[in-house]
Amino acid sequence: MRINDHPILGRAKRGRLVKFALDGKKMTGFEGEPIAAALMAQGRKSFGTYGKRGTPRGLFCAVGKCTDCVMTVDGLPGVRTCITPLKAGMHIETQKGLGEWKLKKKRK
Amino acid sequence: MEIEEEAEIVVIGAGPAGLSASISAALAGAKPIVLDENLSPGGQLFKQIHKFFGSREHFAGKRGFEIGQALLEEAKELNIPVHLETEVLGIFPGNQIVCLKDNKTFEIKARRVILATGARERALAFPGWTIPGVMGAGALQTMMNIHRVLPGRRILIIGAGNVGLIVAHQARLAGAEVVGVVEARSEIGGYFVQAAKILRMGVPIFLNHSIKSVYGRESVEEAEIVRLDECGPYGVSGRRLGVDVVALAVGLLPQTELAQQAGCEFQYNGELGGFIPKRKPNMETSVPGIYVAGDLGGIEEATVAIEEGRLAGVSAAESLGYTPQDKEQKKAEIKSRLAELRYVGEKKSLSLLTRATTMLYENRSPSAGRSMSALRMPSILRMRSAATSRASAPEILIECPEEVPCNPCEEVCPRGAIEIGSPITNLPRYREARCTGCGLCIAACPAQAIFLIDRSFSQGYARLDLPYEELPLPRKQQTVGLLDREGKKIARGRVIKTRRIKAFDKTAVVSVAAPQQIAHSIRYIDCRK
Repeated sequence: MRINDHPILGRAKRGRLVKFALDGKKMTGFEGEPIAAALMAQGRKSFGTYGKRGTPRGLFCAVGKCTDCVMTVDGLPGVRTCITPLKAGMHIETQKGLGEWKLKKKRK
Repeated sequence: MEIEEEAEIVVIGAGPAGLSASISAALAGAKPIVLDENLSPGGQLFKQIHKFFGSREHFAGKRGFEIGQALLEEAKELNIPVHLETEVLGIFPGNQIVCLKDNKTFEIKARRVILATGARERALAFPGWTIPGVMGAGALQTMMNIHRVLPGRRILIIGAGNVGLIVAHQARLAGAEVVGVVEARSEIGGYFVQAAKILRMGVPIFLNHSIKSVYGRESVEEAEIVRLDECGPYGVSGRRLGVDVVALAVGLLPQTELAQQAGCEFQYNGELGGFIPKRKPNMETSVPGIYVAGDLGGIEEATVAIEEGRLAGVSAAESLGYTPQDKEQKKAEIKSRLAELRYVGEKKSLSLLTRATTMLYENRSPSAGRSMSALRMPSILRMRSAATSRASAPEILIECPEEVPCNPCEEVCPRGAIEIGSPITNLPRYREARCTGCGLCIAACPAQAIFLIDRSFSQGYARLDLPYEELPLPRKQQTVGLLDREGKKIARGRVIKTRRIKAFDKTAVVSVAAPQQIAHSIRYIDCRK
C-alpha cells in the first residue's frame, strides 16, 4: 500500500511510472524507488527462499545490511532490493538460496 | 565527483554526527571530506518525522528531517564534499583509508579520521522470525517515511523503548493500525510522554509480555504473544493477534567494525550498547588521529550525536594547527550542552528502581482487553488543581512528569507563562496569571503533552484544545469521540475549530466542546465514524 498523503510529510514525490518484470509477469513501479518498495507497494512481501529450508524470506533491515531481501536482477543474483533503485525494463526474479548466475558470458 | 587522494580530515558517515563534525571542522578552518555508503546523506535523520526534544541549540522542536536538511545546507554552504555510495573497507597504519566505489577500490591518505558510522538494529530470534513481514522497526520507518510504502495494515511492535514507541506513533500517522507494543520488562524503556502519545490513541502497551511465535505461510498472518512471570513464558498459552507486520524495536548496536579494525582500544558499557571504543574527552580514540562521534561511541540521542560531532570536528581541526580564537569557549559550550543532555540519562538510570515501583502502569491479565496498560498519572502533575481561582480563564495542563532535556514550551510562550530555566531538564512551571490561552505551546511541545481547558466556554461545556497530527483533520462542527489517556471513549463532542498554521509546523490544534465534568480527562479525539 502506498502512502500518498501524509500529515507531516505531505504529498509523496515519486519518479516516473515504469514497467518491469517480476518472474516474467509485467508490473509497474516508480523509477528510482527501491525494488523492494515497488514490490511491497503491490502487496508482495516474499522475495525468495532460504537455501537450507526453502522457507520464504523478505525485507528485514531496509538499509542494505542484512541481505534477506536479495533477488536476481537482470541475471545477477544476490542483489539487495532494498537499496537498488528500480529502472525501466528490469527483469526481477525471486531467488532460491544463493541463486544462479544468469549473465551472458562476455567474449574475451 | 573526483575523490581526493589526500585529505586533512576524512569523516566516515554522513549522519548527524558526521555532518556536524565536518561542519565544525570546516568552520575552524580545516578542509574535511565526508564519505558515506548510502545513496543519500543524513543517516537516520530523514526517517525521523517527530519533533525533537532539546533546547534551541539542539534544534529542539524541529522534526528530524528538518534538522537533516539544515545540516546538509550548512555543509553545502561550506563547500564540504560529501561522497555517497562510497564504502570504507578499512583503515590502515598512517590513516590510510581503503574505499570501494563503483566496484573499484582506491586509497585516501588522511591526516585525521572521524568515525561516525552510527548503529544498526538488534534483532530478536523466535519461531517464525524469518517470515516476510517480520522486520526491524527502523526498516518499517524507512519504508513508511522515506519510500512512502506501508508494509502492512496491522502492525505489532516489539519493544517499548523510545524507538518502539515513536515508530508506533509514526505507523498511526502513516495510516496503519497498531495492534500493540510488547515489552518484556515491567516498565517501558522510553520516555513516559512518548508512551502517553500512543496510549491515548488506543494503542495498548503489553508490559511483562514477549513474542512467542509468528505464523504465516508466505508472509506474517498472526503473532502469538505471551505473558511473562518469574518462571518465564513456558507452559503458558499465548494470545494470538491478527497482524501482517511485526516490527522489532529491541535496541541498537554500535557499528564499531572500522574502529576495531583500526586498532582502537575498547571497553564494555552495557547501558551504551556494548563494546565501544575508548575515547578521550576531546573524542580522540587510543589510535592517534582517529576520533569518534555519535552512536558508534555509545547509543544515545541524535542531539547528543550532533554535539559529539561538533566536539570531534573542533578537536581534529585544532590538532592540525587550526586555532580559531574562540575554540576554548566553543569547546566549553559544547561540553556544557552535552552535560545538559546527559543529565537526565544519569538521573533516569539511578531512578529506575523507584520508577518501577511508583509510577505509571498497572498490569492486568491479557483477558482484560485493550486497556491492559492503564496509565496512572501522579496527581501532582495536574498543573493546577480544580479548586483554584480564575474559573473563567483558560488553564493549561502539562503532563510532563519526567526530567526530559527539553524547553520549546518555554521558548515559544510570548508572555513567559511557562518556565523551565536551567538546567533544561527541569519540569515546566506554569504561571497561570500570565497565560492568555493562545495555544502556541500546545503545538510546540514535541511530546504533545500540553492541553488547554477553557471552562467559560458555555453552560455545561468546556472548550478543550489538544494537539492532533493524524489525517483526515477534523472538520468544524464534526462530532468526534472524546478519548481519555488510555484511548477509551468517554464521551462525544463537537469540533469548534481546527487550527493548522505555519508556526505549528504541521501539528494541528483542535478545539472541541466537551462536558465540563470530564473535560480534564480528555486527551485525544477519534474522528472515525
